Amino acid sequence: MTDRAKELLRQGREAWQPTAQQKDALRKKLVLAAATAGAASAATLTASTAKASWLGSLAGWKAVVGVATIAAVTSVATPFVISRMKPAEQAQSATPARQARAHRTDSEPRAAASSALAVTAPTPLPSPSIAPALALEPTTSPANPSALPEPLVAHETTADTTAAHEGAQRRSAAGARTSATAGLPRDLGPEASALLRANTALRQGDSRMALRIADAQPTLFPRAQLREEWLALRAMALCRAGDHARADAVRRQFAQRFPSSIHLVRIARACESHDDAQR
Amino acid sequence: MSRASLAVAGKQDGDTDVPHGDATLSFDVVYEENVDYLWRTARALGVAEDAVEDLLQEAFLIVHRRLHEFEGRSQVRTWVTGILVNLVRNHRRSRARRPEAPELADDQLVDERAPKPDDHADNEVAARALRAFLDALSEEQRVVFVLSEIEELSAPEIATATNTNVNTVYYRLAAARKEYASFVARLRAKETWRSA
Repeated sequence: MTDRAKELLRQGREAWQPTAQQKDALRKKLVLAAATAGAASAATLTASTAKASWLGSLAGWKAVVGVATIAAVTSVATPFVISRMKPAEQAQSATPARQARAHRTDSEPRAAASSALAVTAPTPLPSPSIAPALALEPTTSPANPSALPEPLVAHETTADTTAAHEGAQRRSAAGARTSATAGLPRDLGPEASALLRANTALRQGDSRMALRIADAQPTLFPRAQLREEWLALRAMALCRAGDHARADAVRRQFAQRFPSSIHLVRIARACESHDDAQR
Repeated sequence: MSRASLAVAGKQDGDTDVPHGDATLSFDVVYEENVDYLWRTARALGVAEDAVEDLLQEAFLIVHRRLHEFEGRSQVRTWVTGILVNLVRNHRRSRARRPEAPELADDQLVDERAPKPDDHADNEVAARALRAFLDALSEEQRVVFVLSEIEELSAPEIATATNTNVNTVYYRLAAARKEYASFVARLRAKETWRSA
């Protein structure tokens, strides 16, 4: 091969090298995707490991976000309670979904929300179907959204004897894994988890809950890395809640800040009925 | 860490270690060791820049889910290459069928209106020309050529990654190299004409 031929290949290789920004975006995307679609398998993997990784510990982050929320939201007085979380959403694509199912176990994952979690590593959870045992849920009646917020309360999940035994084993094992968060992006995991909960609430029709989480975001995550997603979520939640005046303002803001965002389609879809009514 | 050592070890502090016989595999290490390689390869295989992120996300989620199943009968790089090649194939098929690969007309080799390559633009111009060449290859030849000539995988590694007979790999590689030699000769002629 001539020198020119080799040089051309080398140049192509360099041109196709990802930039640091592209790799960072991919990393964030992986975390989010695993949180929304693959948290199950992540939890399974984590259970079989001795240490946690930034992706493998996604389930554990949900425990972290719970505690982080306790610390932050108490001062913000956002009406949430830490309680059991619903099963993680299943993988969207067929193949990954099948793979995830293949890894599932029947055991119920449970994590204790203790103050220790606030300063120690998240406890890896063993099963996908149950993923994290901590979540954000509203304590105020949707009919009375303006009620004074209650402070966050952390309570340990109820468990049967077997589960309690398993939980004790996990907690014991977690003690040896306290340093496992070394490779875990603490700044993104809790934020991704909170966003996931807000998104789940929105998909379940609880736009008020989604808005509450979105409202808490600036305080909880003042240096949010997922601003585009938060703003999109807020626009969609406002549309679903029927607050079209604010929704329009947020949508304009979103379109200005992220004119080529892939979320524009989702927002438009969420606000479809309002847009149709205006036409 | 070398590819070989990655296939059997790769343990670092803070990693997810998956039991693997006497050794362990770490997702973090697999990710760090292969993300650049997979990105480049996806681009070289024709995945558009705005689609490569999604494709690699899918690839790494598969890697993450299957890591504990990896039996170490091949190198990790070969394994992840196989995953990527399959995803790229599906990606291409899922998109609207493209028109026939264009002939390599002279004006596709070098854009006459483009400024002469300088420091930064040089690689981009070269990549555009190389992309035009790769687009003209058959899918099979392209995979073999990219993995061999750009990423320097061996023929047996490519055969394993693509689940192909090694002789078939050699055959495809020889054919692609012949095309490439012809392409470079034309490119040089064009460049010479332009600088004259």
